[in-house]
Amino acid sequence: MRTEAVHPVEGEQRVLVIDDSKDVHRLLQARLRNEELTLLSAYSGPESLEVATQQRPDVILLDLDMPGMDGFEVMRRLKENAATIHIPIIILSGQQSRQDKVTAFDLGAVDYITKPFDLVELRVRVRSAVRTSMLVQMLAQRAQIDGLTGLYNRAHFDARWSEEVAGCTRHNRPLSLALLDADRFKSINDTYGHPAGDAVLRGIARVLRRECRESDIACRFGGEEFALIMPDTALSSAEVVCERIRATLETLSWPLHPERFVTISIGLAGADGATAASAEAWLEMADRSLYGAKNAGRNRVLVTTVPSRGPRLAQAG
Amino acid sequence: MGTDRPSSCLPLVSEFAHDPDMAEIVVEFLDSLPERIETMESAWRDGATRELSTLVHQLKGAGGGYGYPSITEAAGALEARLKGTEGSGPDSDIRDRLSHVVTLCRRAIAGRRPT
Repeated sequence: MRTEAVHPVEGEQRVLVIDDSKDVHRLLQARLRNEELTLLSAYSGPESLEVATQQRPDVILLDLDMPGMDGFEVMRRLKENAATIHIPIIILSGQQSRQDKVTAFDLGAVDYITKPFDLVELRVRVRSAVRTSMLVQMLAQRAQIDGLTGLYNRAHFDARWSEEVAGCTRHNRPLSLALLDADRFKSINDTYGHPAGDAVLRGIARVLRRECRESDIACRFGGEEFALIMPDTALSSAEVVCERIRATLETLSWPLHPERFVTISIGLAGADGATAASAEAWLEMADRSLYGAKNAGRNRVLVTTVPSRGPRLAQAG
Repeated sequence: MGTDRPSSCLPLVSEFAHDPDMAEIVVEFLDSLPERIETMESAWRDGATRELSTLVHQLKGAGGGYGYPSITEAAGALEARLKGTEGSGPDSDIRDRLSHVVTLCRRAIAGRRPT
């Protein structure tokens, strides 16, 4: 894989330029220098398919007239691949025949720029495609967000949790999962009404966002229950995070019921490396811990070690 | 054809010679031209039409971008002619079109701004 300017800046949109001419890459680098974009480069059809699948750029600029696999074929393949089907493609071509344009749009191109590029036109067309791409991503993300708390929803949790467990097993990395449940939440709803209950859920979400790290994934699991996935986090560190959340919450005062504090029980299950536990089994362990924390008097963190893979597991089993 | 060879031999200056975003890469392009000319001429001498076609195609895509639309136009005309002759022998019309492209490239080199 050959890429230029591979210094992706967090938050910058990434544009993949596919053209067999080095000049075109150089010209685009110069022309789009001030656009806060990261440019990726591919110089042939087959290479571009590999880069597009691995890097998932936000926009593709595609030359039609390339030796071997031409731009039309590249576009067909990108549109057949689930990983690249939604990436907007702007055609970049010296060819100006009406039929080429019709074919390109039929195949799913969003725009067409004729070489040599007009500077202003190039910039606004790329900017427009990037903006559309950002809106599409935002909509997709919204489908993963819980409307009341702004945290990720259960659907996102299910997908991410399976991925994280697979990653932990494959790369022998630590991983921890916490399930958090507001104590006696029903009585808050019954006593102070549902707006007060909703305020509590939003308040817990705020504490979660504030107290967990950038890499943690906080989700609303359902009802008054929350889940916190802590990738690359051993049980001891995860326990510190959970204890911080618990302690912060018990000191908060609530405008709709200043006389009533809110506490939370937390069940934590974690492993310091690869484990034989499935995503479901791990989740059950965290759930049992949570149940244990409730039974032990609430407002506490209960910790379970997920057994490691290997001889120790065989002995334990 | 071949009659559209420019009578002028004045140096060609890039349309972007004064564009701060472009000045540096225009110079790089001009620096690459002597080797491109040499490679195209040797491909022509060797009858390597496919190789010549690729070089001319790249020049067509590049010229206008660096501010030399006449190079793109001339290379495009040569490429169109070459596409029709792939696999066949030399042809004086192709030679004329190639020398027109080469002349424009040399005029661009001559028009390079002193740094």
